Amino acid sequence: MTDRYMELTAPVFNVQTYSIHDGPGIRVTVFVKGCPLRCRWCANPESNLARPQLMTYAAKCTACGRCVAACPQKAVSIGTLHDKPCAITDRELCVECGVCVDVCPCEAREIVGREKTVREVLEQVLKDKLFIDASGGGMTVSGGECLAHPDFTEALLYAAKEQGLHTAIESSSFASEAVFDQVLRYVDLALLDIKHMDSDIHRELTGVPNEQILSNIRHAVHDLKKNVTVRVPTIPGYNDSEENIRATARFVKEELGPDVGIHLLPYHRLGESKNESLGKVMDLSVSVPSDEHMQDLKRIVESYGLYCQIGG
Amino acid sequence: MTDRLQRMYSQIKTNYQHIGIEKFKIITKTEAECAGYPAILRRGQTLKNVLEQFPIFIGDDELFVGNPASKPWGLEIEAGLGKWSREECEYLREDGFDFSEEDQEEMLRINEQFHPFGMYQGANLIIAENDRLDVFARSGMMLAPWKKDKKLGNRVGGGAACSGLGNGPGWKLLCIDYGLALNKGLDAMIAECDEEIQNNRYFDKRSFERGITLQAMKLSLQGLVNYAKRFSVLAAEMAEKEADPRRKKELEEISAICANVPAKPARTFREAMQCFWFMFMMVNPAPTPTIGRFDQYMYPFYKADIEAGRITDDEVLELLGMLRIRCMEMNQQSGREIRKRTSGGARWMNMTIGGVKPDGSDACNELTRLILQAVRDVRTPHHTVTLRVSDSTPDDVMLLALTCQAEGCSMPAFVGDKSYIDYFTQVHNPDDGLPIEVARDYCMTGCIDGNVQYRTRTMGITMFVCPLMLDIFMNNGWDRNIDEQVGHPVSGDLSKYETFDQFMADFLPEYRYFVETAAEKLNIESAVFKDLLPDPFRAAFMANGIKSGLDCYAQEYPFESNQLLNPVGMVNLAQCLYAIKKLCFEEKVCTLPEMKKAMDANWVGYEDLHKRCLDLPHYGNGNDEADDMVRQCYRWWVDIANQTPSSLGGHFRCSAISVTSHQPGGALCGAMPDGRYKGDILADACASPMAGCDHEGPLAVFTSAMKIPQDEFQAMLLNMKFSPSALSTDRDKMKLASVIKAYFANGGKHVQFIVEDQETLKDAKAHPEKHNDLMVRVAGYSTYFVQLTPGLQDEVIARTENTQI
Repeated sequence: MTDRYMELTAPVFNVQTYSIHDGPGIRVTVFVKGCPLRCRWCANPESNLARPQLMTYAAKCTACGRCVAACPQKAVSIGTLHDKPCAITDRELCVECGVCVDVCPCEAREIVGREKTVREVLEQVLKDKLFIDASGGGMTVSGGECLAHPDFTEALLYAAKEQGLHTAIESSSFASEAVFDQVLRYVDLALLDIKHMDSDIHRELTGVPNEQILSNIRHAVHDLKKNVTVRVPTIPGYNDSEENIRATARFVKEELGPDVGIHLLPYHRLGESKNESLGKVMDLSVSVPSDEHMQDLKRIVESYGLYCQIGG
Repeated sequence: MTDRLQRMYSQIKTNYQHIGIEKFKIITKTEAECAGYPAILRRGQTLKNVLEQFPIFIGDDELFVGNPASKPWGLEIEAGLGKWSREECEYLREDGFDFSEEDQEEMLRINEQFHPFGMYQGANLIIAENDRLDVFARSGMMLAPWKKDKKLGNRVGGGAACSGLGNGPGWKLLCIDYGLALNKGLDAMIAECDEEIQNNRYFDKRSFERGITLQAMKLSLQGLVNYAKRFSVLAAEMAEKEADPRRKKELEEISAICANVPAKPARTFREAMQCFWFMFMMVNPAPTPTIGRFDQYMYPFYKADIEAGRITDDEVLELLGMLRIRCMEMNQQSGREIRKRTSGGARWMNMTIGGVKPDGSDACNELTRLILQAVRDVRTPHHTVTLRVSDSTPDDVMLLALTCQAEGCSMPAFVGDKSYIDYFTQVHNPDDGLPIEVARDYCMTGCIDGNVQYRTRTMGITMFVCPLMLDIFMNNGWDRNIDEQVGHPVSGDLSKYETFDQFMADFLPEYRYFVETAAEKLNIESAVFKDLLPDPFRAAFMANGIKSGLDCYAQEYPFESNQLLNPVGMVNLAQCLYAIKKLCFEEKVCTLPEMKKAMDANWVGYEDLHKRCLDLPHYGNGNDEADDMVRQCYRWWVDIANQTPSSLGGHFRCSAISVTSHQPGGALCGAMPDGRYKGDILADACASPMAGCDHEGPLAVFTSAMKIPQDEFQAMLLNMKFSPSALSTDRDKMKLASVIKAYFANGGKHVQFIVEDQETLKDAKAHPEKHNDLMVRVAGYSTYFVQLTPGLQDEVIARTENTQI
């Protein structure tokens, strides 16, 4: 750890307090920006790119036109969205300078993502220390992909441990083993995704194959002796087949061990509106899985003698 | 719900009730007969006559009996709360109430001879003759604005119709000693009155008052004993005629129970329930009929019956569910204007459960859990339930309570033992407080106003619109609503202030002047109430009641919290001051006169400044600067209250609830530096952030609220809204439980939740017919969402929702 670890930075787009589904107790979850994967269902599309981005919220927009007048690129005009007048941003022209955000009176525009230091983030996390301690919680680093910012993440985890906090990461495990080792050094709990057991399909769904991922997860359990929980974002029609869930459970039981639990995370639609806010269209048409379906999948996992819960 | 409860539940009526005049006839006749008697004796006789003459009946499925109105689900014209005009009677019928023309004519006939002297007339004797108080009262800074012309008494647009057999209007926050009736019985209390009457010696200045009060207490106690005996006879008669053998047996049992209680001590849980219901009808009508620590005083009866095999948990659950349904019978209606404005029938029948015993150990028991189960089974907004939470409150109770919340029951509310007990022991000034074992017996006596069961009481409370102080101050003392000088002309040319400290040096004396003037007005009203509205029944059930022989207004208590100063919109006032400090003096974004111009223009033409105001940090986000101004504003409030003498003894104390006053309060204010437009609603609840101004999640709200000196307040209300997704699993609920406990361990006093999706609430506003049973928590009471005024519906919808994925 360098002396100046508190001053290391990464683009952070959210420090979410009262996170109750990202590890034990109440967590403060730090979302870093930038991810090497492109999961088609991504719930946080604003986390894909490392640079700051403009997000707009049509529901809040009153079409007052102040952004239209202020935009130096002339990228904003009044149009119609969801059957109501609304400021529309031409993403081809927009340079995401943020001038429109400053003049918007109704918080309908926002620049997400800013370089933050470990010190800054830690200070924010510690504001909730009372509640973290009372609930047996801690800090979770999520993303984006925290492995994409190894120095920052390692330093932040170290700094949190210095303060007596329980630490967790939520990760795709997609990185070299050296980076994985570096980041996991100060991790108490690793919440690691397995999005599909078939590497080809995995590549199709996320843009990357899964061999390195599965190898890192094995490494975390057996060599690094880390407390690992496997998470399966459950996306109907993509990875929720009985076959894939069985393959996942088999992998966990046989290659990780019966003490590693599985969280099945039902797909939710939050990413869809975020895509609209980023001026993108989501290339996915999928519905939220039913409770019954989730219960069926949970029973399948449990039939392998593994702990399983729905949701984080 | 059992079949029996299903049938009873389907009968619940919250509007268009039958309006009766039976109680009115008895009261007005008694008042005429007793004209000139001391008020307390007159009111004692009134109670006795009502209890002996009021029509009684037993409903088909009832297991405990006693009808609070002359017809099922009916209301009785109230004699002491203004008069009904012919016009208003017709409105009642037009609006769908069942009020016969015959009764109307009889009531109007009686009205001609009946001239009650009410609070308004009494207080106005002073206020009308004092220009300073008169103009202050009319400003409405102390809600509601005083009207000069009120021919029909103090209620605009008609009198009142209520259910309940006691002395109205019951405007007091206290919990009578139900245990006294349950364990000692009224016969023994009557004997005690007799003894005191005989032993009273007539030397000191209070001896006459004692002699009279004791007689009045005795009359009221005898009345209730006789009322029960009437039911014993009626039930026996009905049993004889009853064909269904099961109901016949029930009626025989009811007859036997009513032959015993409340005259003699209760012997079983069923007798205890019956005794409680008789007592409860005597603390109605009232907006705040308090139930107290029901799981404590009822527990010995439950335990003995369970151990003896006399009752099962299912049977207890049915009785507790029946109590919820029967509490819905306690209702109130007024004239058309008030009916329109009344938000969801605000009533506070508060049952307090959990917490610690006087020795400090955990007080939760099986009954605590069954009460929460009854909340889940029988979805009614009344009675409400408040769970006292201490460090030792068991996890399963917390889980059950949060399950109620997650299922949309809108209760229980949670209160923190530490802050309430610290208030009653006055931890910062123990000489002014109670011993800890006494303080531990507090309960909710209004929305979340604590009082120690039968040992402390509150008789007066004011709703004070804080931002209006600043509005008037910045207008050189001029009130633009009534166009008169209400404050002192001190601010003058606003450009004279060079620093924020200079500004505050002028504002704070005005702050003090306004609060003190509100205290004066309350002192006058309480003095009037003391003469007009003594209550011998409640007085007999206060600690030392019969021994002292004095009414609750007259007796002095070891801890005086008889009058409360209650700020509304303090969060808004603080934000205004913070905006002035930051923008006018520190960052010099505008001058103070410019800010004033923007306020006068209702922000039109000042959109940039408006945005700067809105963009400032707000209370509720854990921002030290913004929070500190709120803390400071509350601190001033406490200091002024503690230095202001109360006409009922001791000094004023503080509470902080908004009820629904944040709406009419906001309507009195102009556009202000916190960014509100003219007339906008204020922040609700007193510890809650302004709706929509908290962006940092629920923990930041708690963190901000912990900075307020809450243990100096008798109540400090905090509302939070969660989407059901944040409470979907038991794990989620236990995480929230740990937050609640941490908040309470660190100065928090109260929190209550609305757990509904934003979309559901919006849909309920648009399509009320589809959401008739959607219940929400407004400000310490639960109510049907569709019965709220549109303004309050919007406010509930606008509250920041905490979601979880």
